[in-house]
Amino acid sequence: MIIKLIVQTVFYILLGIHAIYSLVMVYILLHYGKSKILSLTVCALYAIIMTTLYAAALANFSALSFPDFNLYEI
Amino acid sequence: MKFNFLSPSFLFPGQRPDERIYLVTRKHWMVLAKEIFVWLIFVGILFFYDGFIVNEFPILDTPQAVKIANFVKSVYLMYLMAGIMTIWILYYLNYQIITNERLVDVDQKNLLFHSTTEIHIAQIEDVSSEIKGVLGNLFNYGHVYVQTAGTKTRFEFDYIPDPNAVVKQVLDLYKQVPLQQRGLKGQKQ
Repeated sequence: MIIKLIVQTVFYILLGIHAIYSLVMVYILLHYGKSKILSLTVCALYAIIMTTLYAAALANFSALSFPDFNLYEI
Repeated sequence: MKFNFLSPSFLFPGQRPDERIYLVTRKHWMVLAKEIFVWLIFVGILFFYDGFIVNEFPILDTPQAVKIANFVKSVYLMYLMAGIMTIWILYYLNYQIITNERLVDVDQKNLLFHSTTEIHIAQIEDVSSEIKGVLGNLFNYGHVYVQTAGTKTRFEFDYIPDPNAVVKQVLDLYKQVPLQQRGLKGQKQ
């Protein structure tokens, strides 16, 4: 259980960092990009790819099986 | 909300209505290609793992190891995609504009460092170009340095295509500036 908790925490911290970084990227592109249409298209494409990869990562995480240590029985 | 940038006559913030744009340039595509090549090496790690490492170490072919590898690969791919997006954004947001009145250098050094530098054509004292390296000579890209009359030392356009033509363009525009205005713009009167 403890292993799953650690992996889960690391996983969500990585996702959080990635989400913040992506938001900064999208903001910078939309704010400074000369062509708003191009910026919006790229951002939409990026959002679709990221959503797909996020779903894949979640599915792969759910598929993992962790050893269940019961510390009280040791 | 105004979408001024959608207008073809408006290319950068602070552009005057009567200002004529002669050239908008950014780094040569070869610079982008080199960065993408480095990114592709990181993509290659995935293929190297699947095609070579898994075959060499059968322990990595067990169902549990495959599940862990898939999980790590999906997170790794997310960061890879963020990497290619960053490369493209930094390429796209770095550009230089030459107008009949000034040179504008829009710089995006990293995601959180944006700067816009501009100098008036009349401030220019010296313009030089530099092409170096095999790729630079082969694809004709390099640097343009503009020396100004003010305290600022140099104004640089990095890795732009055809730097000699850009130098010629800047010098031609400088020649159009009336003699009494040269070297005075931006200085204290």
